Amino acid sequence: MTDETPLLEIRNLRKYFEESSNVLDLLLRREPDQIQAVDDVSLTLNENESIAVIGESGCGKTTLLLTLIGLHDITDGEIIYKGTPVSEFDKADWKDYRSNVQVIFQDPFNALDPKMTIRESLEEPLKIHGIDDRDRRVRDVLEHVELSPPEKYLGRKPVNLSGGEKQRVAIARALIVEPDIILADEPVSMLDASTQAAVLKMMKELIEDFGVSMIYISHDLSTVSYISEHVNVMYLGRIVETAPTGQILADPKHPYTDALVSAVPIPDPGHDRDRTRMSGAPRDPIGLGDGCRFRDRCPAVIPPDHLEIDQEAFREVMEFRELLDRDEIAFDRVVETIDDPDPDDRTMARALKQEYFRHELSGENEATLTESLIALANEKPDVAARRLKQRFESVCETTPAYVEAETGWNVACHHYEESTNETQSTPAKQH
Amino acid sequence: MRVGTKRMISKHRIQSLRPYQMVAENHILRNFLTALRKMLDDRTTSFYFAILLVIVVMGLFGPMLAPHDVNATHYDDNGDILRAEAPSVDHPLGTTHAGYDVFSRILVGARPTVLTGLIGGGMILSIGTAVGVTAGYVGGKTETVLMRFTDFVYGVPLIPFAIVLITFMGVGFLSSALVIGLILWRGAARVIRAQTMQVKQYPFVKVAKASGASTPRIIFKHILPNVAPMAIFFLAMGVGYAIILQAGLTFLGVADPFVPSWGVMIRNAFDSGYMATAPWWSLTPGLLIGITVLSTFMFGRGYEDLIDEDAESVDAEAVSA
Repeated sequence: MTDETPLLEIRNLRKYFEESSNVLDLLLRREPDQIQAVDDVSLTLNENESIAVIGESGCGKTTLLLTLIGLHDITDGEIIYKGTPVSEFDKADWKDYRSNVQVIFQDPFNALDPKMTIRESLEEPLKIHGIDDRDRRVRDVLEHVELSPPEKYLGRKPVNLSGGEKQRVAIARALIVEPDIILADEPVSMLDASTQAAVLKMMKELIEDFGVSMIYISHDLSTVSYISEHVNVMYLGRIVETAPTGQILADPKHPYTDALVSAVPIPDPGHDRDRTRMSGAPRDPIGLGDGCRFRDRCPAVIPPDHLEIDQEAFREVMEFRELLDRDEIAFDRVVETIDDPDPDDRTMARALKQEYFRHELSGENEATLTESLIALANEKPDVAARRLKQRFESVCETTPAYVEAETGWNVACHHYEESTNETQSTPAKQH
Repeated sequence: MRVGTKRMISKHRIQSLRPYQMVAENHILRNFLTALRKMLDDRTTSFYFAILLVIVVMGLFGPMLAPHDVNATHYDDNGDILRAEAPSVDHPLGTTHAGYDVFSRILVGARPTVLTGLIGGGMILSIGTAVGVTAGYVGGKTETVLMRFTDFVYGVPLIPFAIVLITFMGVGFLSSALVIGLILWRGAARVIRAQTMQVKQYPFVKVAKASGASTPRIIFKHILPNVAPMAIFFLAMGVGYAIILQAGLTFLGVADPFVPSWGVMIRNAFDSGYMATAPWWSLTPGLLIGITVLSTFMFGRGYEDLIDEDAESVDAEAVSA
């Protein structure tokens, strides 16, 4: 293998699911909404490299992994293993790929077949790939994962192992066929903290010993520095930032990464620091349009140039617009805060404002907001949305390009797109 | 196993095991025996298991143990037929209206009863598991076709269907047992499909798939062992149902009256009009059918204890959910 060919290359990988459609949808020829679980992800994994993919639950990490091991079909894009695209694999290639790419799942409690002994679980991949000398390999690998003496474990069933021991066996099963790549999906997140550190340390040593490359998938930035040299931060199906681990931890560029980094606990009660706070939860990745996907939760969402507005207040407006767009305004809850059983539009608008806005707006901004809230109370959400958009449309509603902010450091954020950020005040039309 | 070690792949050396070792190493058998041992830890379960064993022994050796020929008419000292005689030393369970020995008929009748149970239960187990696992694992159109067919079978009323089918296949002992199996697999198929779907989404199945295991391998090594306890449960239930139904069918007259199963005995007693006057003739086979069926059901219930024991196993969640 030449140095130029990376071990595994992912190019603009997309994995969309269709929202389940029923007979009625079929008859009316309604296009089902797309769930954009993985959208335009590119990654490169070189030999002996360990990279991490970080993101919240539901951001598409696991889908990415399942797509990589061929359990999901690819919607678009390409996975290239040692120069051969997966789409051109024949049967022998698949067999080779399956023995060289192994996976460790998050949940150690169901990662092993409860009906099989440890020996049987470990022998299975060897049997599938016709590898001989099983007994020695099984014992060897058990010692490598620090389960010794192996005799003590060989005849046991998973029920008789602790969580940490199970995960060690799962790691052993991945290593036993001496793969090139290990895909680890939050391998320690379900273990308790003391076990986590031990297992992580062991994994790090093992991937170095065995010369394995690894894609480490996790929601937990604090564990990443143990394992990976490079971090990809994923948000709602897209990679928003890629950088060497040390640098990204020290100086995160993307506001989302910043929020993640500041969420890493520091075990020092005297320590006080500014936390970047994210509000809300990520939306469902269904029918996402253009724009930065973090814009509704972003503390640094960019107001239009002509607008005089407080950052926090603008953020609330963006969040509210997003809710409105998704039709998720909780009218029922708002009505309950009003004493009047049959409130007029103004009362309703005031209640809405109280519920969703903590920061005061002023002047024109205030007028626009009130006007649209009244429209909303009047059951004209379209009018409200349009009014708000006219005044508050942000550059973040266009998809940011993935730019190289520094060498080896890519960010997808309008803050780092110098040209567009400063000059372009009229954002492109929304889809 | 250091960096760059060459893989040694050899297709020739298969671990040589002696046949009895292979049987002992077989994981399905091993799991079955472990589970049985666990179930027998419970005293109630082992009590019913013992009854079942006795009935199976009766089925195996009954005809040999029978003191009299089943079709021999017995006479008293005066040369009169012993018509519906009450139990005595010679005939511990009395005689029928034709002077046959009831005790001998009970022993001989155990075999067809046990056979019915095994044929019916076995068919329920095999058809139900095959349909359920295939539908659950393969999914898609296969699943739709199989499960709609199962729904269709659910709509078939058992007794009328049996009467019609037996009309075509001819009245016979075997056909009545087959009919039962051909219908009753439907419940097993549904439940085992659901279990299969659950087992299928566990990480250990995904890992096996990701490391290249073929579909048959996954089904035989991972899916079947994990749905096996449920399948055995359905076997136990199936045996019971098959015996009850066969007795019912026999009573209605759609089974071979000359194979002296317990069901046939009750019918003969009813036909002769001696049902009330010679209770030993009708009550004994009736009680035996009841005890057999009760024992299979209660033994099946022992399955629940197994689940509690194995709290972390896949089935535990399936049952508690």
